[in-house]
Amino acid sequence: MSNDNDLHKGFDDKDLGDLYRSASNDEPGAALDAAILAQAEEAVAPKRKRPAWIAPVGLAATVLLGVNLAVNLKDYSPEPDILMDAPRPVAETSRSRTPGTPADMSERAQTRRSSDAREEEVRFPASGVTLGNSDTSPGVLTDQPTISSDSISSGYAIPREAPDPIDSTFTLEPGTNIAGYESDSDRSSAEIRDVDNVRQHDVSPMTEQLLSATRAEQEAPVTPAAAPSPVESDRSEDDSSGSPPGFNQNAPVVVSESRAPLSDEVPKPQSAPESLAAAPPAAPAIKEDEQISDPEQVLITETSDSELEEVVVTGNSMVEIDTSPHRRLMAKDQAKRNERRRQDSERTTALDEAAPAAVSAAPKVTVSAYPCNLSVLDIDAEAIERAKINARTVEPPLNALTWQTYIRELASKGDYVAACTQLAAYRQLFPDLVMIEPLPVTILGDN
Amino acid sequence: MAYGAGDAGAFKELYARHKAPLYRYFRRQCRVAEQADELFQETWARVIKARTRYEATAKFTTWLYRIAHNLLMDYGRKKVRTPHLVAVNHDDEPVSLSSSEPSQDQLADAALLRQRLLEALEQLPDDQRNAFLLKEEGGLSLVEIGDVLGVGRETVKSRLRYATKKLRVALAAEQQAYL
Repeated sequence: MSNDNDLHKGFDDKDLGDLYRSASNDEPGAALDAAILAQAEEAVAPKRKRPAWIAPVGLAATVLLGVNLAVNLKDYSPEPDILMDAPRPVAETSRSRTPGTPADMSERAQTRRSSDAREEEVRFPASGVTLGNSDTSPGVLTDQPTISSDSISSGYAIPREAPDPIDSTFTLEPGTNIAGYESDSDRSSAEIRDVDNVRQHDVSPMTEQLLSATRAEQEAPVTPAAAPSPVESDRSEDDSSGSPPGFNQNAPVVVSESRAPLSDEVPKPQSAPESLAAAPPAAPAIKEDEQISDPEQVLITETSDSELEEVVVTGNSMVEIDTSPHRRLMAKDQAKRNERRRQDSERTTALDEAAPAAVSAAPKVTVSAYPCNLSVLDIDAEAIERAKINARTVEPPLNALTWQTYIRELASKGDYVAACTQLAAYRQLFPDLVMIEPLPVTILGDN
Repeated sequence: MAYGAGDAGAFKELYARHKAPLYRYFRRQCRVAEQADELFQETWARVIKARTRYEATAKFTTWLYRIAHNLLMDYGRKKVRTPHLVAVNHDDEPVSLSSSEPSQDQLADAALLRQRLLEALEQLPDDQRNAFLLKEEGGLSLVEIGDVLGVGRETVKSRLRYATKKLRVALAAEQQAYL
């Protein structure tokens, strides 16, 4: 141990440190030095700055694009006619179209006149009025599907959905429920009346006269048209081959004696006097003073084989209440359209005066509301209460809009009992809200 | 401070002054040269990254070796040290032994004595070896070593005393063998 202490004294701290430093003289490699120095220089090297003009130019470009976008959005205002008349998928047509007006009808009639000049002409021997689908080109929805007198007299159905112009096999079957039909321009209240019922109940002498004229037309042969016809005959040839699904073929149809305003509902050929000359005078004339001034009246025409008929559908004038921006925009545009319609009406009145006989000769059948009377349908208060409870308890609970959609779907399927039940419950829960889009059915006595 | 202000030349000067002691510090702690290189580079990377946060409240050497020590601790937690042979310089530089003056004859091979020292250093406990290296390589005082290691001055002093004693014993045994 003493030796150890002696030995220990032989190496003091300084000697030990010197010995250590002499033994350890390691240094990092050159590559390591270079890497560290490069890293240090890179860290303090001034970063390349972006050009000074980048920021202002970018800002200016952003502002320019924003202003351009704002201007475009401001200038954009959907044309009401475009919104209403633009071709749409058939499935959407029945729900998205807005009610038409006599002015719209007049415009469309003018369009038909011009387009029909290039199409096959059809003459109507009895009534002297040629009506029907004017635009049956593929992809273009027909403005006003025609309905034949056969369909009217024998209870043929008018489809609720607008017929597919491409589908040439579309036909109307006897007994088909036409309660769901809505015209192109006024789908608010296209409701069907059975001709026989009309005879038994509320057929006026004028209506009877119209029906007689219709039958006379059916029996009379169709001669080549001397006057341009707004009807495309190839469309009408296949109209009796079938009916779209979802229609109650047993639903009653009632015909009333409402009439459409002559100035708007009846397309007037450009050569009205010639048309009058070619038209046989057998059709019952309707005086102008008998016209119904209801602006919501809509003309519906349909062809069947060589026979053409004109049906005037009187729609409900239901008030649209909606808070959506699109609807408000539509309401604003409605005022413009009304003014334009008034002007068009005045303009077309002059034409109507030039061809009063041709216009008055058109047989008109007014299709009024589908008789969905609660008492008839045996809808009791308990069912209505149950519908209200279901509407609240379904997940998610039905609000007004979704409920309307649900009711409309029921009606489109022909389940009028369920539709009316839901509608009654809806009106109890939302007494201040009217259906945005009128149903094809109405509850008699309600509203 | 100058480097923190963006003077790259200041870093070169700083690096030239401290690179060898710091590298040896890691080299003595790590038994694999690549590990020492990695820790050495990482230490300087942290210095570069923290250049703007450095404040002259402490000696740069103390700050540098604190970073190195922290890295070493992190590294020690991840990997278990494996024994290896310490590289030895085989230069013929004479060993200066002042007080006891062991004769050159007794130290037949100075290189073997230095190798023995390094081997003895490697055998020291981590705390003692760390304190010894900070003193010898970093030139830190007891207080500074305590700051780096996070211990008190007396603790550092004790660790150094034990370290030097063990090294002396090892060198004496080597010296006795040659006698």
